[in-house]
Amino acid sequence: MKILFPIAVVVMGFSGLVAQILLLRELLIVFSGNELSIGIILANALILEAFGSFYLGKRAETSKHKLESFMLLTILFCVSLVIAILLIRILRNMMGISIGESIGFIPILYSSFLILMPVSILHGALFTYCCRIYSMFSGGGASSVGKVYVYETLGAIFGGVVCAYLLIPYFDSFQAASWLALLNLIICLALLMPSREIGRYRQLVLAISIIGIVCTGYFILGSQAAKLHDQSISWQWKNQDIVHYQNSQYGNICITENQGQYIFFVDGVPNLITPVPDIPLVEEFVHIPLLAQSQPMTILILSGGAGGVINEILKHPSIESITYAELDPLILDLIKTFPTPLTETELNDRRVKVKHVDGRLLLRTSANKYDAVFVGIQEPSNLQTNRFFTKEFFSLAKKQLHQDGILVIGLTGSLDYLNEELVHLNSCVFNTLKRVFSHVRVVPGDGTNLYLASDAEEIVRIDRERIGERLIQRNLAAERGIPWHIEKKLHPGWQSWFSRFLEGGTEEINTDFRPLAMFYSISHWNALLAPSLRGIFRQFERIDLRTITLFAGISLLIYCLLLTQKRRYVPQAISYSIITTGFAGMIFDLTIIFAFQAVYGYVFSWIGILVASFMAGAACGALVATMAMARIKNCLKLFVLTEVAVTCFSFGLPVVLFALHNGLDASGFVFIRMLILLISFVSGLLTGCQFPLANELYLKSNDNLSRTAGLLYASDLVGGWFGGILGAVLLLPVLGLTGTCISVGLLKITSLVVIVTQSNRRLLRASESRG
Amino acid sequence: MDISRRTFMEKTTTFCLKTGLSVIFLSTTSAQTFATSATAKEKKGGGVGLLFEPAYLKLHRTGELGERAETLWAAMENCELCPRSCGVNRLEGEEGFCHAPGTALIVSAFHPHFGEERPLVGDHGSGTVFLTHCNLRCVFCQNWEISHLGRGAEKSIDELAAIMLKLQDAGCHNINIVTPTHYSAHILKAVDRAAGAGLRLPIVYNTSGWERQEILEALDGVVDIYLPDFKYWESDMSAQYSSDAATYPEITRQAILEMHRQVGVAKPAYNGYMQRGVMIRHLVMPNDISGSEKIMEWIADNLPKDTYINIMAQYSPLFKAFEYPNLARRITREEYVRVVEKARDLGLENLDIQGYWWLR
Repeated sequence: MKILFPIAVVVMGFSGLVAQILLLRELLIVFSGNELSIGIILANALILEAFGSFYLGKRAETSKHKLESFMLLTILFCVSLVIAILLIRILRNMMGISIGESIGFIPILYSSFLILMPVSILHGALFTYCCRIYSMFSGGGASSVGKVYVYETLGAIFGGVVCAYLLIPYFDSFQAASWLALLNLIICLALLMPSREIGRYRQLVLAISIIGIVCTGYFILGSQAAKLHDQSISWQWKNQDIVHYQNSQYGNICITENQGQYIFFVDGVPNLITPVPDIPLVEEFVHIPLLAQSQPMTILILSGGAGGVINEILKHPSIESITYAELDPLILDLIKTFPTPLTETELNDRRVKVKHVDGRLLLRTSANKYDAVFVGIQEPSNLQTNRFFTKEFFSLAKKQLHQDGILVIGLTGSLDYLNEELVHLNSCVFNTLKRVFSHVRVVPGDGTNLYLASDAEEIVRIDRERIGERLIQRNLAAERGIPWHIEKKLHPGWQSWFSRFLEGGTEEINTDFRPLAMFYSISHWNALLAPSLRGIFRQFERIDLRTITLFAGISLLIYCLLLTQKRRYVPQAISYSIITTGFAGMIFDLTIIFAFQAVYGYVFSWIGILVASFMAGAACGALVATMAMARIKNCLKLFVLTEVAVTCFSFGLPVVLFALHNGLDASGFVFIRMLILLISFVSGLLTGCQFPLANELYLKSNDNLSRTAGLLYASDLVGGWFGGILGAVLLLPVLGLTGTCISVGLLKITSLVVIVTQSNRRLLRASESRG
Repeated sequence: MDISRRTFMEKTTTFCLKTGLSVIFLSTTSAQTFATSATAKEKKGGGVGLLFEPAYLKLHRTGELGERAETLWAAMENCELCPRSCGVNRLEGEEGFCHAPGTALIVSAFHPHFGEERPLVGDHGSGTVFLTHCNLRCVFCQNWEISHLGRGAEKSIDELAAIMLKLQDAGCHNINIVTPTHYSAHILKAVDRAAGAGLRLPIVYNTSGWERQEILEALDGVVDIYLPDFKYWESDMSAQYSSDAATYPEITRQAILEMHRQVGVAKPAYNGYMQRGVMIRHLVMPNDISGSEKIMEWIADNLPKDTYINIMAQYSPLFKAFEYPNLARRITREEYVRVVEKARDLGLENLDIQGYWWLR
């Protein structure tokens, strides 16, 4: 049992993260996620797990059959995961939402909450049960909680790696869930086998485990899982003829076929139709900038090139090379698997070179200069895509452009609904471009505004006469003159139209470390789908460091008033510290990944390594703290020290990240990566080491281990919940990286003050005497 | 009749004299006012040109425009402003099929638009006002945010009138009201007030085409340019894809004939700007859902050959279109070319087409 049960805890941690990843990916296909929807789903998972950890988990203390209950909960967890996946597949039909239709904040909130409920609550309870069971045969109190935390975190690390490199690429969600269930059932059986006790309850669990193994084995090996997957896909994609469905590391791609046309859906969003592109959009996107140049030769496309854009570019006779960066190789593999004459022409042309690399990374490392850079990402809707709309990216692009080179980007636009949020979004990006380029011309459109940025004045002066001349020079036009659908885009009236449109818009710019455009993109999405919440977003926008400081100050003031009472709040103080550390940990994790992407680029494997590094740090921190607790007398002092460390880390993190960002050149890449890994590890270490210490301190005043472990685990998750839902969507965009870290620091100062003032002689004496 | 040389000379001389006197007199009175204001507009670069008077001015002066507006407004008590005739009491705030909130007028955007048809855009744009909600509620709606979700801001009648005047001041060549059907009462009221404050631009009634004859009769003499869609030929299609609007084809045919009767063929004035006439829009849809060729045949048989037709190619599956396999793809070049060639073969000569074969 001393060996088996820790393995069971590792598997519990493994299962939790795998379940979370599977469900998140499935939900994003339905919700076509932006950063807010990702945040909502994760936050729901965390808060439900916290609930399970505390309310269900505390029953572990009074349960007479703790081990059997743990196994039963594990089995229920596995079953509920399969059911949850099935529910997600039919969710769209239940809610009456069409494929490709956007869903607003509130339906995402309640539907993800209901679906995640059983899985997350059960998994939360499992942690508390693990702590209680482990303490039974390890003889430890708080140290057992610390060790369970370590094992669970290790399991989560394995889970992340296995999920990313094995389960997602090679199995569908039902198969992955089934293998997970099989693993858990085998563990349950293994835990039961050594026991000589044959109670009725144990017999029941044993029988269920054996039956479960047989059924799950049949489910997997008898292809029932695959059949369920196919059937549920057909329900989810009602009325569609699905020809391919596959997950890559980056997302889900589903291809449907309709009378010779292939529609590529990426994470549930229609992304591409071959061989018929959105012709007006593609023509305008390509020909207006290329006809603004005398002789475009070298072109760079960052995403979205295949299926029309490359084809239009190749019509220009002076083109010598097209470098096309598409991050997810699966997209192009599938375009080749379902070829059309258009895409074959594009991808087989000797002038086209495809690279499967992050666009920013390619720009940073490329020695080439280009006449035009086309960015095929249309919206800064999450931290990943926002990187292509920042001052730093525009500066990078400008460096790689020739003197008269043009940067071409598309951004959300509208001609029939011009709300404040859309104005701010466009204003922010326009101002950012103006900071870098001498000339910016915008061609407004219904759905997409086309931005042309260059240091050469030609893009501002280009008109129908000039276009006509160049068409003749290039022998490009089959008809006399240009058609109205192109000519109207060049109407001089649009320039003053756009100036008027931007009136009242923000003057702020979008930077790597302050993704404001992402905030406006989410605000715009929300304004369309949940206008009743617009006021909240407007208030969010006004938040600044003064507000945060004021909030922290008022909180401390209120706390000081509480101090005048004689009542002690030691357990609450500890919980509060763990909440704030959980919040800090989530923010650190998010910030470091975000900074890494901004500095280095989106490299899937490295994102996984960063997350693993954070978790490894957390596991090490918990282990170190657990070991230290056995040796030192004054755990409180150590706890306070960790509070100080986390606070200092919060204030120091932006300094380090900014230094890395500004001092970066290609030769420093390896060093930068190592350093960021180290930072990630240290942040995990600091946040992880507090958990066992908190349990130790809490147990001084409360003998109930299950309740303590459940409460503090829940506190950690609640902190993570706040961090998840506020961090990416609100704090980082509105306050920026520095402001966010300072806010975390201020919050930690409040918890430091609380924990220091609440430590009283009795607690100190009790700590010393037991130590 | 046998005209002698003498008679001819007499009549010609008389005519010239009258014309000359008219010019002399008019140039010193109202002609001068028109010229002045037109010159001002010409200097500004907008407007519709010299001597143009929109149709509604006459009705405004006699007070009939206001009366018609009141009649339509009262009709909202048992609303029959559109062929749905759902009969809700919008005056009491009830919502009908279109989901317009009672008598509230919701505007999603207004601005000089440079993307409409060329004769409407001119140099200074078509003064476009986008109204929200819609009585057709097509499953493939390209503007679903405003038509289905009703996103926009509430405006009063006076504000709508002020918007019209503002667009005129911006130099626009017309006032282009998009999706006006369920707001016809509001529009007439606003036009009446704006006319009293100096509005002189033609009204473009940018409609789905599905209009009741009774409403069109109320618009007779108000609207100068009708811009109707002609979406479907088959009632099965309109019923399936536009929320059971089975009567769409039949009613729209009658509506277009009435519109033509009122304003005739759309031909640009001397300055290239459109002042009056019917401009039909037709969106070609996949799998001939729209019955495009039949529509072209009907137009050729029932309307003059120089009827303005914009054959649009920009269909893309949006909103709920993916639920319907026949709608869940783009049109092919062949589908579009077939419609254009059919229209040409039928002798229709005033076609606005999107030539996607303009590049080699």
